[in-house]
Amino acid sequence: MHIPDGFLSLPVSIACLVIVILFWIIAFSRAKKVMGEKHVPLLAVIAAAIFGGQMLNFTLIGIGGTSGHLIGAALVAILLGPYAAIIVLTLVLLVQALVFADGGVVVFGANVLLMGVVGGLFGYMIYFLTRKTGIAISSFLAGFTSVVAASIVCSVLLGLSGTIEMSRALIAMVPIHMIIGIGEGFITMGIVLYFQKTRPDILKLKKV
Amino acid sequence: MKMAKRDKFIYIFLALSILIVVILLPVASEHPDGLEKVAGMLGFEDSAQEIYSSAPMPDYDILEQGSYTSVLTAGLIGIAITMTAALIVGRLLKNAS
Repeated sequence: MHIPDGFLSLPVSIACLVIVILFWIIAFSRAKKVMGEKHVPLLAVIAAAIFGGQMLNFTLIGIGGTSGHLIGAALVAILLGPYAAIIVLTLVLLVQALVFADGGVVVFGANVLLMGVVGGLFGYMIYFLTRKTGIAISSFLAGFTSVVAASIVCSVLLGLSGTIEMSRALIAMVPIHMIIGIGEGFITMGIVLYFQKTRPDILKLKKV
Repeated sequence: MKMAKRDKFIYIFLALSILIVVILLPVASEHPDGLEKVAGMLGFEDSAQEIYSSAPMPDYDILEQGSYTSVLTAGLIGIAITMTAALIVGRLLKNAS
């Protein structure tokens, strides 16, 4: 869902960046409070894994000629916490934009807002609200919802920018991202279950 | 405080992540992603502009040939940069204890 430069108006891009800066401040102060020696190497390898995972586009079943790929914000949120998700996605998106021209520079704030802030916070909220259904189902739902929520916000931003009518953007974006969200849900579930099986102590670390 | 003991799991997880990229990259889909597809369907893909053009490896392609080796190399460099960046930011942000 990497927005290229030009898809969003300058005021919308700046507004997104301002919102994201507020979340960076909250995330950094949260990290300063709870992030310890054990979190740091995990943060690093999980960020690396998210970068790698985002390169692996999967073909969507049911929609011809379309692919989706992992966002990973819900996954990081479940493993390390929602603000860790904002930090990790910020770094992944920054490397992608500056080194690989994947995602725009003027719209950087918007991409962080969609994939980091919305993806991470919504993913974590759904994981928390549905935790009684068990870790597998709640992880799936967190992954699924993070993508759909991000696609809704993306459509709203496209609409506000005057790039395309908001209703048309929503009607096109949401169904496709519900299918991508199923992929995100399964990947999130699989990796969370792997952590739970091999290293349940990591899931019990204080969430950032 | 003593440094936390090195955790082997970190290396295993990193190795598994890289292995998955090495194995799955050749079968990764070349189709446009959800947003690109929608932009094409609704006809606003032409609003995309190149504002920043100094990216050293556009399209994850270091040798500009689209081959597996070229994209994999770019990907591994990306993984290394991201990990280093997260390690530095993590060290800066972690609390003193």
